[in-house]
Amino acid sequence: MPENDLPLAGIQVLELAQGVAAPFCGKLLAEFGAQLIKVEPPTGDLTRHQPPFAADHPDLEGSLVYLYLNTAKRSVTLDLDCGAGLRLWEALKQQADVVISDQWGPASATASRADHMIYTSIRPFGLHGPHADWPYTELTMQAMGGVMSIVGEPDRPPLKLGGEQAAYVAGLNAAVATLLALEARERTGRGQVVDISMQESLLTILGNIPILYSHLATVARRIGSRHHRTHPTAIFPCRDGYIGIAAQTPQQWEALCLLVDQPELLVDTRFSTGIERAARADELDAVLLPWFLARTRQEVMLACQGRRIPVGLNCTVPELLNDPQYAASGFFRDLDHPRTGLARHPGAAFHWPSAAEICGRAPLLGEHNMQIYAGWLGISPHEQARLRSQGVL
Amino acid sequence: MSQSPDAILDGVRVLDLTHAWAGPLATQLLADYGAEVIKIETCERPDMLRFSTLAVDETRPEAYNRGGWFQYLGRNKLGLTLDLKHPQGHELFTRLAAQSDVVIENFSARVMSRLGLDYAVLQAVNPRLIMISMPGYGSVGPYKDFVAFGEMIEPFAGLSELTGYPDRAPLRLAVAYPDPVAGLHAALATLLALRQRRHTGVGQHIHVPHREPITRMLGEAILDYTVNGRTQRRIGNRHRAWAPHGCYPCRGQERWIALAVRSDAEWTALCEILGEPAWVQEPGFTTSFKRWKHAERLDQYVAEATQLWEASALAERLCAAGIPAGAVQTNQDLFCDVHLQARQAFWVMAHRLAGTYPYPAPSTRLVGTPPRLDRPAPNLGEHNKDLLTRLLGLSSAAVEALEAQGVIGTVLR
Repeated sequence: MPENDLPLAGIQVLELAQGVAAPFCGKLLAEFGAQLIKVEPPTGDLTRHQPPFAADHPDLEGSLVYLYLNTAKRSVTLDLDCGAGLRLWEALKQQADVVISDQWGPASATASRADHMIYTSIRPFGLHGPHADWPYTELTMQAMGGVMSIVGEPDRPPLKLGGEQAAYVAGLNAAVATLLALEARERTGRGQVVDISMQESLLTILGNIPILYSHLATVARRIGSRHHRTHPTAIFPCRDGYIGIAAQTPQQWEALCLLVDQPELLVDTRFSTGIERAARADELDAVLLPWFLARTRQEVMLACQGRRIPVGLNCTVPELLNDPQYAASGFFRDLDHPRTGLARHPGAAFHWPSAAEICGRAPLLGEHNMQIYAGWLGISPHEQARLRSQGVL
Repeated sequence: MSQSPDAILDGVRVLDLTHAWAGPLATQLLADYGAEVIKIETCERPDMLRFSTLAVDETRPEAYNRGGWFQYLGRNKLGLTLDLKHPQGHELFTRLAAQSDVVIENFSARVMSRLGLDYAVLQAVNPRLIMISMPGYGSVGPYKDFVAFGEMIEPFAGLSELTGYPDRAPLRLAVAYPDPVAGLHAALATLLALRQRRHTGVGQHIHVPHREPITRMLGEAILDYTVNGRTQRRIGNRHRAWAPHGCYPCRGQERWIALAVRSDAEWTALCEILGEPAWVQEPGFTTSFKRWKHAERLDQYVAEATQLWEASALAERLCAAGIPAGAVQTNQDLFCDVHLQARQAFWVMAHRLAGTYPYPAPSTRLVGTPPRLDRPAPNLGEHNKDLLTRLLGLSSAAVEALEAQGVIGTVLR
């Protein structure tokens, strides 16, 4: 497929960032056609040092986090701690439409003056404010962003959502903001700074939880897999594992009561509204659960979906890989990499109608030094060798 | 209209047929940056969010114009009611589509074609029109007609299996996390399509499914399986290599701190701050690997010590020493967070019926062309007359006739 059929064809992006959040933003832009160059320190992105590794063998080229987040990018190395490195960075920047960054140091100080350039900063607490320099990890972000207070069971400590959801959400948010800034540039001819805070990005996924406090003075807490204001919206056990159910509308509630052969629930005044069912969720579960426990997950899902009740399997990772829907939509894709061989990756979140999304494998460390430094900046192989011996590249 | 002249999406008209959370979040984002978002509902079945986050004993009239969540997601949008099943409603919608840039919908798979409004029909009246559909599971495959609600997509997409205590059932966020994730992707798709239209001159129809975006956010767990054959499961708050790494009780009712120790130096600093320097010498805790192996005992030690502290005071102390830490903030705490306050992360919005409250501000901060708050959420059908006369040239009498026939309206039926 020709790359110029993708909407970001011709956009040059420099990714001066490590970890998960900013590289996920870069991955999204690269998939839709942007030319993405990842600028790594000579020791490599932090995630190159993070487990899990391919075959559990610690190696700069084998980190699975890195291999996933940096697809369709090119890699150059650059030591920004020395003058020569900074000068090269300045030269690279002259050719960039967008810089994605997680730092706010000397390398980025001149960014806001670049007239046409968009500078997307993705940091835990944003560029300014009393906590701007606080250290963070995924766990502490989920705590301060209000997520952990509504994950977990009441008799145990609050929990984080699995994986690195705070970082992914911030990266996604940053990609949207970068697209807005590109749209603004089309109209004004000017670039600008985009200031993404991971903590604020998390407020977006809390929905009405802040509003439960501001409007109704309700402090929302962890309630297992349930919902604060309606039931059954939960994860239920079946004979062979778990399913997720969200029977919320009056039609879904009625269909469920009939399906599980408990029509009397429909006239039981204890359970007439979602709020009442949520308040008596234990009592209701005592009536509903035997039906689920007597059936397999697959039987439950098909029976419920057949009556327009939203139910889905609680999928394990192997089940996702064997999922018939994902197989039909071609969601997963195989990428060949020297360290993993052909490996299956999740594909794009949505398909572009006029061209396939770009999905090249992640780059080796500094794999494109020659191409970029010679091709973009006209630095001779001889000069590159000198810079390499000085540790700049 | 009060759209600010320098808003970056000024002149982009969006017909918003979405309801609940995912779609309305996408259009909120566009409206915050100046797009003219026309929220289209019916008087029989308005957006279900209008009935959410209301007090249980809410008895005042027009409750459906007072709900907090609807106010939050509806800001900067215009309200139009239109019965699309009525021939006149259908015709008015088509005429609007002829002069719009984007149609966005999150109905179940077959609704738009049943309404006679699938993309081929709309494209015929406006080749520049972009259509965003948000089906649960895409447009092909054995699940394409399944119903999707965000709350069950979280386990269905694989996240719940990775969330929870190792010895208990899978868990989820208490709200529908897949909804805002799908909404952000829909906003991304819209902006990409607007960009491409500059070059091609034509619109396109993009399907943004609900489930794929979440599975994509589990990348490393997927690769650990496809490359290493290892099936990751839920591990509570634990980390693969670091310890302590968890959530510990603090002084008071339900006060907690989350903290992460990434190195021996941070461990030494933590012991000193907690007033337990002797722990550094404990043979079971001297290296990262040993602490990780003895995490259960380690967690008990740390929990004993943190109980004496006020959560945010301890977090501040630890962060000053370079140790990542944060109080577990409730919805109440977020409004008092000094950092969020300093960054004005909440917008105060006044609405005649809903009242005056703070709401989360856009988290996409474009410093040069900031988002604007032009108006609170629309009442049901609030802009019927304005839109139909201004955009379609209807006379006041024609608008009244439509109201009499029940094609439009401003009151819940």
